[in-house]
Amino acid sequence: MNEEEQVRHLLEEAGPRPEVPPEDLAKIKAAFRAEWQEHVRQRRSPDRRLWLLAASIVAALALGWWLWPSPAGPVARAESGMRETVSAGAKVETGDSPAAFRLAGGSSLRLDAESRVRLVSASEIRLERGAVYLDSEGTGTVAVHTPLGTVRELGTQFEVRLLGSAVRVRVREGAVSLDGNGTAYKVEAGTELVLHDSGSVTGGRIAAYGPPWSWVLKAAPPLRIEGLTLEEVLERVARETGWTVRFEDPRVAASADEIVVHGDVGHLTPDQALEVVLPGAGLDHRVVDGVLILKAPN
Amino acid sequence: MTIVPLAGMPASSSDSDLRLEEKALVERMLAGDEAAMEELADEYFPGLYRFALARLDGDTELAREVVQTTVCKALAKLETFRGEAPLLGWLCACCRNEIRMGFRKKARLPRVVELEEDVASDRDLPDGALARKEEVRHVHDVLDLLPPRYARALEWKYVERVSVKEIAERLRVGAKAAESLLTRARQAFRDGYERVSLGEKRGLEP
Repeated sequence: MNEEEQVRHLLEEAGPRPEVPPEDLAKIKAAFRAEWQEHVRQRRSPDRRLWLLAASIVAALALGWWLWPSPAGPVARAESGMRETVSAGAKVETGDSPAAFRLAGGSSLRLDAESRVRLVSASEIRLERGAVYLDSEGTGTVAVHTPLGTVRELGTQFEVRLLGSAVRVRVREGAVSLDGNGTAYKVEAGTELVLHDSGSVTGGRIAAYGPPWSWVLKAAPPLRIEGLTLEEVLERVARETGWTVRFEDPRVAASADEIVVHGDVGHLTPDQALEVVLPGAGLDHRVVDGVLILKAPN
Repeated sequence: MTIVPLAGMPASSSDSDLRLEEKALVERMLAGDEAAMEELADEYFPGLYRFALARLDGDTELAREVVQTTVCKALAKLETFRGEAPLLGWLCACCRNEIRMGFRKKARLPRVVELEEDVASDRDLPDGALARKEEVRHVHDVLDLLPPRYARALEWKYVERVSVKEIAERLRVGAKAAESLLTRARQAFRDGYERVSLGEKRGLEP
């Protein structure tokens, strides 16, 4: 039996999927519609103005960053902890450590050490020095302007770095467009592109995990794991590290959304947090070529 | 503006295109596009309802309540939908949590080990009939987790025995495009069937 015949056989034997009662669907849809209308109304509310949470959870990682409230204003430095908000138009500069912020639209913004950006709005960032990393988590579109071009995300995780007379874009997930020299380039996940001021372009492959993303991991806000299932914790770790998750034993996989994690991993990076969480869940793990492999202890 | 793919970079696969389409649909809906909201509800809610119904012993009233709660709660979480996994799979994960929470609230054991649950409720069935019932549900689950147009095309061709020409007309594409879609749909079905057969966790396995 070839593959098409196998599919045919399975589908013929199973028959059509059961019909869903139209009245039930109508009720579900009506409730969803009402919820959706409220959601859209709130989303469009002027209260959703620019705000950036320099959350206390990054305090242990970001040793210092400076804030210029306005282009012509005096230099203000966060003496202790983090400033809670950053206004539109403000300039932010990091010292010898990276820092993390949350944009109003929900995207995670990270600045590498020795970097400087101007936050034009919640969706526009001007990169003046160093590097930024954005993780939109499907929440919207952010544009990063550089002297050599503008990088627009298409729902993704990516890094933009100024390298002297060039700008480099590395895409970890999804895709971005880089509009420079009158041409738009699409950069897909797993690739990097370097646009030089001469107009020349080079590119190549880049892994989603490992050293290229080390500073991003270092800048990541600590995991808040209290009350999450192990499955949710693993998904968050995978998102930050670029790893894929694999269970060696399907029974362990089946239990991942049954195990609820309690506690606090403090300011450990996501990969370090696993060292604490997994033994507590009774699991061994190892990482091989970007794959986090989980199994029950022997 | 012209998008120029960089030479040598891999083209996106049809699967990732589908994920991008789903992500775009969600983004349009969240941005206030009513047509997108309608499309999402029409395309994904039936599969979600069947998913819930199969795990609630066929209790339609409870299934409606659970699905209604799931989709309303999921709306806020959809801001975080990244399009890495199928949208329906993502919604089913939310639904599974909702079912589990519902049973916890009622101080009953969570029904999370679905096969055991079904075995208990079907204990009077002969082995062969039980296995067949499992198989049917298994196939329907896999169909529900496919992109809706894949599932529809497969059902039209292999359950309703609709010709490729007719499928092309229903999909408003040419015959070749319909054939191509069926090929991708079969591949997706086989992959999904294999994954479920192996007991792998959707969304965690690559």
